Amino acid sequence: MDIWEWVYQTCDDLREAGHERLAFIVDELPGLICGDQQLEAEALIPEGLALARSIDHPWLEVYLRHWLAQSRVVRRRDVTGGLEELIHLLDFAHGERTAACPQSVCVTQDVCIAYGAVDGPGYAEERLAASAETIERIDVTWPCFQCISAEHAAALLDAGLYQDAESYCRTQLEKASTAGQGTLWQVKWHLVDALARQGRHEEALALLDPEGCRGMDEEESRRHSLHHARELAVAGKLDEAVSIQMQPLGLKPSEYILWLRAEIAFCERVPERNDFQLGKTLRRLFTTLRDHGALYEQAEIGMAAAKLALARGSSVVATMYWEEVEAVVPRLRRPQRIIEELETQRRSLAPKAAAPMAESSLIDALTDNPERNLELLQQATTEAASSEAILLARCEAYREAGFSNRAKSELEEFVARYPESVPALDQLLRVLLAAVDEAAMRSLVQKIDEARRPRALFYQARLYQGQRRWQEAAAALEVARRLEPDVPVLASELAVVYRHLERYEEALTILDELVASEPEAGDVDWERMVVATALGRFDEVRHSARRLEFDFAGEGPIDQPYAYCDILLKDAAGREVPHRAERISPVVARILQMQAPAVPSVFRDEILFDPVSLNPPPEQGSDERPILRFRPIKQLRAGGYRVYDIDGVHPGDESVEGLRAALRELGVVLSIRSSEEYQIEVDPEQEPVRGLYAFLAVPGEVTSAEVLACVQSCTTNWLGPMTYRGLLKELGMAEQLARQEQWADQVQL
Amino acid sequence: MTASLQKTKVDFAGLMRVLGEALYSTPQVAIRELVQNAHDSCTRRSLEAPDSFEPAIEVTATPGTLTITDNGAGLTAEEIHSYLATVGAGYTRTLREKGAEGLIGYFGLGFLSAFAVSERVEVWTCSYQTPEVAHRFVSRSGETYTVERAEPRPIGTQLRLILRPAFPELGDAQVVLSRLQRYCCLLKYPVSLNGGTPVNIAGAPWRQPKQTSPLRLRTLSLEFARRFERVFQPIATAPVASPDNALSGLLWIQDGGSYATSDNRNISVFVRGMLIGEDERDLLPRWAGFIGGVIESNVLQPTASRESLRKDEMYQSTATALRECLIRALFDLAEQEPATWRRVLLRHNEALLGAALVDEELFKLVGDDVTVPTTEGDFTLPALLDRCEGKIYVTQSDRAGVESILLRALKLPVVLGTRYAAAPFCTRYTSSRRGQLVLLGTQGGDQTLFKPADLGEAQCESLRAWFAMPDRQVLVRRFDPAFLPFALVVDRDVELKRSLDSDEADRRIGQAVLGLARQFTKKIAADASVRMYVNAANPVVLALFDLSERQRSRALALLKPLATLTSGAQGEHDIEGAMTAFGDSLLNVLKEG
Repeated sequence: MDIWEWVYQTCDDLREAGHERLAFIVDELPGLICGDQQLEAEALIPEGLALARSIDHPWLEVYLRHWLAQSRVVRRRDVTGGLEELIHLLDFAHGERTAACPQSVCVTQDVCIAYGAVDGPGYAEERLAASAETIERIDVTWPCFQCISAEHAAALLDAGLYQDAESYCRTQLEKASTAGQGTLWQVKWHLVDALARQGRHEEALALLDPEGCRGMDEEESRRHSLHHARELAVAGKLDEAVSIQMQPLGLKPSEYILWLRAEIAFCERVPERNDFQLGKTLRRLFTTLRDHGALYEQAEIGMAAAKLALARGSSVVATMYWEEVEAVVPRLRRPQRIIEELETQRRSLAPKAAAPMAESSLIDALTDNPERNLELLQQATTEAASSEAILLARCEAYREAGFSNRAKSELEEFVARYPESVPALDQLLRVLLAAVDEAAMRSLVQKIDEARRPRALFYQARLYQGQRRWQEAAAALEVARRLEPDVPVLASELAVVYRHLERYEEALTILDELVASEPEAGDVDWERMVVATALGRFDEVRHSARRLEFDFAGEGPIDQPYAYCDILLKDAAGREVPHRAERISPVVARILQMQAPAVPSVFRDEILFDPVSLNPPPEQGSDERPILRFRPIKQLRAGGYRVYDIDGVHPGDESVEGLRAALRELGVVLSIRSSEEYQIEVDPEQEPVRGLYAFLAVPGEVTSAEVLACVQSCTTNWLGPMTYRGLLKELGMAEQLARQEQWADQVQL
Repeated sequence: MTASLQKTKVDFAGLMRVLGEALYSTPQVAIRELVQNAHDSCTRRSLEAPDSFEPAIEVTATPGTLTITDNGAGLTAEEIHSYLATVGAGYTRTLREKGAEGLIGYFGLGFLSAFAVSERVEVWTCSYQTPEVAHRFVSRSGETYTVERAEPRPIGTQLRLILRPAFPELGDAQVVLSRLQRYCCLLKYPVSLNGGTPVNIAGAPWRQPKQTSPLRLRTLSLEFARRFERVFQPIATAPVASPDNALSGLLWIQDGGSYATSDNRNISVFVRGMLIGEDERDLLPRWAGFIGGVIESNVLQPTASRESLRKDEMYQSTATALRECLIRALFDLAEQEPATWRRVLLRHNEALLGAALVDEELFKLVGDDVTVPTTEGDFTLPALLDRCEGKIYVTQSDRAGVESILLRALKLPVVLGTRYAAAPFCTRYTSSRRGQLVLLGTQGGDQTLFKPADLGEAQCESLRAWFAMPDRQVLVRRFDPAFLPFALVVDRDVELKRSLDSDEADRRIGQAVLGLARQFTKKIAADASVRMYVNAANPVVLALFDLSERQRSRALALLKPLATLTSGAQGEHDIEGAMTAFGDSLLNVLKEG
């Protein structure tokens, strides 16, 4: 059965039945996945699945989940959760309602490929059996013929049966050719590999005729280029090879090994290509495969990375790779090739006979190449090797070379052995904080001696603050403060955390003490103004304000507008929306911006805000003074306004001012929202007229009836109609409301 | 056989037909090609004889004829033979090879388009080099032509096409005007139709003097964008500029909501002032489905038909430059025009959600501001983290599992992972910023929701015994809301193991692949298929310890059927049996008082 025919027909059927979105997803997926847009595709699949399930279409579910596997497992080599999902899919795809779905065949194939991704050689026999079994279910005219043949050939190669792979590929290509199916490139590339593994590179290269790749899609062209680059490099045609070798940044995990093999061929001929940058790239590829659970390919890249590191004199890096690969070996089913390579590489490492160097000489000799530094630091004398400066330099080099875990473990070891080393402890704490390694941080806090525990607790609190876990942050800082009562930073940090917990009294007590002990005004005063304002303790606010050289006369709440600012209030979805406000004290702003009637009014609300400006720092030399932007802490006082709108024909500026004045008498504020561009087509035969759209902010004590009366009396004699539907609706004046609605519809307000 | 050098034969008529008719997608392209020749002729004259010369191109469209007149360099008799009548040999290329700038033509093929649409082509021309002599060129097919001396005329060229009946639109002033307005609006020299005002735009924003005020530039940019954006209103614009001035132009954000993978990208590309491509969307990142733009470049290379661009290295570097301009513009917009930025976020939330997944820079910009759909409405991730104490709960099922029911009871929003990009975005956010992702329906999710109970082992053992039922693993945990005595969760892995390990699987699945699948199920423990979490925070559960054995057994008889009823939409359940058992137990309680 032609799967694509089924897909096209299904899409047509879906569209006809009104399932346009599902049809779009079904149609779009293969293109996205083969077009190197795996993340976009995977973002669509859950939606597609939900839609397929909602119309009870199990075949489509198989299709969508198969393509998810194609993206996640086949291309991204992510078998961490991908394998589990695939086994569930295998069960589902062979159920009563799905067994006849043509993509059930593909699912068995996906399972084989997934095991190939986990441990290709390890599962080679099972993959061979499974693909042989599957191919019996189809014939050469099925599109799957190519994929299954390619998987069978891949398994033969993984099993080291290169001649068998060659003859199998030739047979399958012949079958396709006889049936007029065109070139099965996926099989042909495996033939190229089979020849290359037998050392028959000339034959391999001859198969990669660039003319042959005409009409290939992007993914196929990439694969072709990767094979071609390798064989050209082996043939010594380096310029040509380099020109088609792909940039490593754009590689997807399923291409890593191919790219690596080409790169190895380059480095064998041009040793300068084997530099630290290549080492960094390989580290990235290795960690990606490690995180994705692709065991064998991870080990293969690890061994290649180690070999290349050795070739450029980086024995430390090679050794670290060996250790990492050794940890993978027990999880491989047939690791013999890897073990042999490990032994070969280990044997090749010649002992170094460089003279030991003292700490200062080593530090002076450090370069900007971390691999070189790691080699150099190995030369440390016994005394220097245990020095703090050498440790820090080594950890820095580990991190830069992509071995952060190694840096962490050495720092942990060092701190355990030399607990008095504050720089090492600080470094370790920073590493843990950056990695948000909560468990390691907790363990360190427990293990560290009491003298240094406050330092660890401070970082632990920082970690919790970053997660907005204020209770836990407060608990950590409280313990720290009990151990070190006289450290100001612990106190000020705790005050901030208390403020977040709205424990204002406790925060203020701490801040008062800090201010009393600190002659110079600073951040503590700002924080104190915030907390004291929240508590209504305006003497303390004024005291800190004076220290900061603000002068607010009088007593009680400060209400002296002195600048505009923007307060980032959150909308219903949690987005921060700037609201123009006037700053009436250093830490309080009154909102000036009116909201549309549908939104709860914050007009004239008074907001306590965090006085740390969110504006980016001004450019150097710029004398621009932007409106400062702040995050709110809490609402101190509600403005108590509600907002209505009026909409209709502009009566002229004088009349508008008349309405404004009349409303002002009531305490109602008019805010015009429309510009001169707002036009209303009252009569299609006539030119459009200028429109007026405005908000009325009404204080709580004024009734809607009073406002309506005022509006009606002012607008009665206006030239054109004016609507105030919100007011009418609220007052239940249905008849008048209907008339206004009708007119609004007519002129399309 | 002896090798000999042979000359290839050319079927000229056939070649002309192919080139003339197949090279271009639409006959209207002839307008562009011929105006371009006229413009290049003016450029040539301004380079070679710049004195007292005001370049102008006049197009006249009348039914059945199209005339293009310029006061450019004109052609001598020799040049008519060398360039006009020789396919692929334009003087423009010769000039460009000498280093002249501002020339549009390249291939010397543009004149062919005249034959593709005309029954007869007539050219009157007078070269600035021989101003006293004019010539008339006439050809029917392009295959043969005549040249004769003509009446003296001003320097320049007039090209008159007697149109084929198949192309009446080329004589329609409205059609020609609309094409001129698109193709020629950025040309240097004025182009007008039937004596009207020139179609050239004075206000291309990137050509404005440096001292233009930002407000004026903004207005001009929006006006310019409106002219090119056919479907949507532009909300905001952003300049395109490269440090080497090889690229300039304008991008804009479309109004009108985009949905997830909507692709309304459009980019018009002008090369040396002439519109080459109107839909070069691949120059924009795939995620930018809500962006339109016009760019002008002197490094992009048109294809021979000049209707699209060669996808070469320059194309790629232009695409990279445009992505950078776009990202920078979005950052600037967010910073400088918060109200407009908010509109962009509201209109294009889903597109940005997907975009943030694939573009690191964009994730930085919108990560905190895009919303994901939840059971309680749409929320940003920071808002969700605040509401759920640092956790993001995600369900990947379209049916509410028991975990979703618990969270709903607590009024905690659960992200609907079945909606576009929601689950991957949450994963990305929590792994790179903050918060804990809790995938409902997984063991990890269960561990987060169902916390260890603060009961002694003996009490836990008692509860396990009291609630024991077939195929049910009883786990004593503490969870919210406390009013729920228990929650039941189906273990999908155990179900899978049973299914694949059964004999029935051997019948429906191939043996070899089943063998592989069983490698996986081998690692799954053969537990009960349902996990029953008994809530150690529930007052009824705690009260069980204080009851007499008889009371407890009656209480359990009431509680156990509830377990079946509350197990949610997870598989088939014997609701009837549960209701009967519950009713019987209740009756017993009522009877016995």
